[in-house]
Amino acid sequence: MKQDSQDKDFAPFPLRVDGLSVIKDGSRLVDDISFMLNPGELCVVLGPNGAGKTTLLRAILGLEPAAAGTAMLGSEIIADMPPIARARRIAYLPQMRRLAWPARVSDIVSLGRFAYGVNLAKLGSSDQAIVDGAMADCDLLHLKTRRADSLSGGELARLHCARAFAAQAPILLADEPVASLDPQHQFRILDLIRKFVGSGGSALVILHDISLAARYADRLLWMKDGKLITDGPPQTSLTAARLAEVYGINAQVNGTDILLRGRII
Amino acid sequence: MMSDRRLIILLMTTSLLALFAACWLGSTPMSGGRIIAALFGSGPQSDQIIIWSIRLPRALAAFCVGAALGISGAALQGLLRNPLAEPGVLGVSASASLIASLSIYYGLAALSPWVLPAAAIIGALLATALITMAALRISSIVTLILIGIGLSSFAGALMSLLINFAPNPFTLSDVMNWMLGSVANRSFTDIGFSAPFIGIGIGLLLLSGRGLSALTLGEEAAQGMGLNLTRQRVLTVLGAGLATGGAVALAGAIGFIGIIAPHIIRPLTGHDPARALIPSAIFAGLCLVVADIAIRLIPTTNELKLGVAIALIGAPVFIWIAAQRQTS
Repeated sequence: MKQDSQDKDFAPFPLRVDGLSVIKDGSRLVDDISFMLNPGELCVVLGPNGAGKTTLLRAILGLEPAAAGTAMLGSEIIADMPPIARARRIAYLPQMRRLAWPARVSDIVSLGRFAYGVNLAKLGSSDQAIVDGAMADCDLLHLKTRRADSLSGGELARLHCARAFAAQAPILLADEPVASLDPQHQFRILDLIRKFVGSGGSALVILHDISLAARYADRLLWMKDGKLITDGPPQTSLTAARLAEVYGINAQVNGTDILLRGRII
Repeated sequence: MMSDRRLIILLMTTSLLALFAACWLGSTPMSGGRIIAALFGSGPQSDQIIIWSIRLPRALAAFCVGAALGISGAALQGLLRNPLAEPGVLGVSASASLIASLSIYYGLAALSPWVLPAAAIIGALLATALITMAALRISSIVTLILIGIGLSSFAGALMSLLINFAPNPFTLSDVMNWMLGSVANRSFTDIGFSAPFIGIGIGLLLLSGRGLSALTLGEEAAQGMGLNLTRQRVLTVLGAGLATGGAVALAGAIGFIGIIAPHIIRPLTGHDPARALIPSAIFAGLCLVVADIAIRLIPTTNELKLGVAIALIGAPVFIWIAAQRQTS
């Protein structure tokens, strides 16, 4: 996960989201959201189902047209960047879907180099080295010739991470990267993302596990009904009152330790 | 998995042997030496006519049609991420056949030998344009397939209407022949008219190959990786439309080969849609050349049509693939 590209495109710019709104069929899915994601930062987006978290990520990337506001990288509006240029700077890990074909592990990771014109039939040596590095980071080298449909859920999640890291983009947007994983694998994936951030990257990650978020995040972005309720470090923004407000649940909070008691009726 | 290059060389060699066999086998027995002599323009005049005017163009037509349908199927399967997709799914074959049949029905085809192929290509391009416009506005791939099926059914219904109202048995049999699909009596001129469309179509599909690989991860991830989804869809649909139109112009409707050839090739190329393109094209071409040799050799009172023979083998295989997909 080394950021060895030092040209200006890859200077660690902050990602600045400014008044971003998405309106679909008359409802405001994302409502006037502003925040900054700085290099070396891991921000976790929290919020109930339907809060607009995925739409926010898609709108930042320009995959969802914004009704108002912008997401900028340095002085560039992300939605206006050519797809390839954007992909070189922001890696996107959408919610996990079944692969269309039972491709080989090494081929899937190689697809991470798509924005660099990689052709699976003949991988250049520098791309190969980057792909091998990403596989090593995600502990996939022993699986490299396996078919993706023979992998376990945890291995598959690591495969998708490796694919995203292989792009060597300074920013990672990940949508529920640990969904349906066992606790050990949840830690494993977040350790990988933490390591990526530690090497100068920045990550915006949607999670559903609040204690996991509190444990790993530098900042928590609390979303509800398309709005950003609060943006702050876990130490200050994670409170029983906030959990009641955002999720409608009773909880006991002690620092970053949380005990969920049930829903508020 | 063997290397891509070895697979292509193996398929090409086998195809060349099959083309040679197509020149060799037939109602007039000829030795290998006579065929080689005729191929290089020496030997008796009658041998040269048999090879250059009858057997070779017919075999080459079968190969071109197979290649166009095979690569179109492989590319559409990659785009739609569904192993059952083929040119027929998007309604391109049916539309091409329909316009071609209309030209027969209204007697336009009798005006010039060029009318029929031109009509098929116009039909394919119309369907392609329609699907391309739909692809620009519709984000769901399932919807796109359903539009294709609707288009295909509508073209099929109009074909049935033509047969229903056929004014005389001659028109009926002309239209039926076109629907059944055959490469009998094709000349180099016929091939020449279709080849540019098939060639451009194949070129576009090869250009779209890298994007097809990316789509393995799904549209969302592929877009995130920098794929321009709209451009990808237009490129693939246009390429498949042109290649299929050219193939229908040359041979009428030949189904299933666009599903079966890529299905056999895919595991040999690591299930990568891009790497499956060229081998699928060559393999489908090879299949049609071999099938066409077989139907020439099988003694029947009426000529067995290539499209019918392929469908007899292809339809059960199609059902088998579909059933396998259900269980997985």
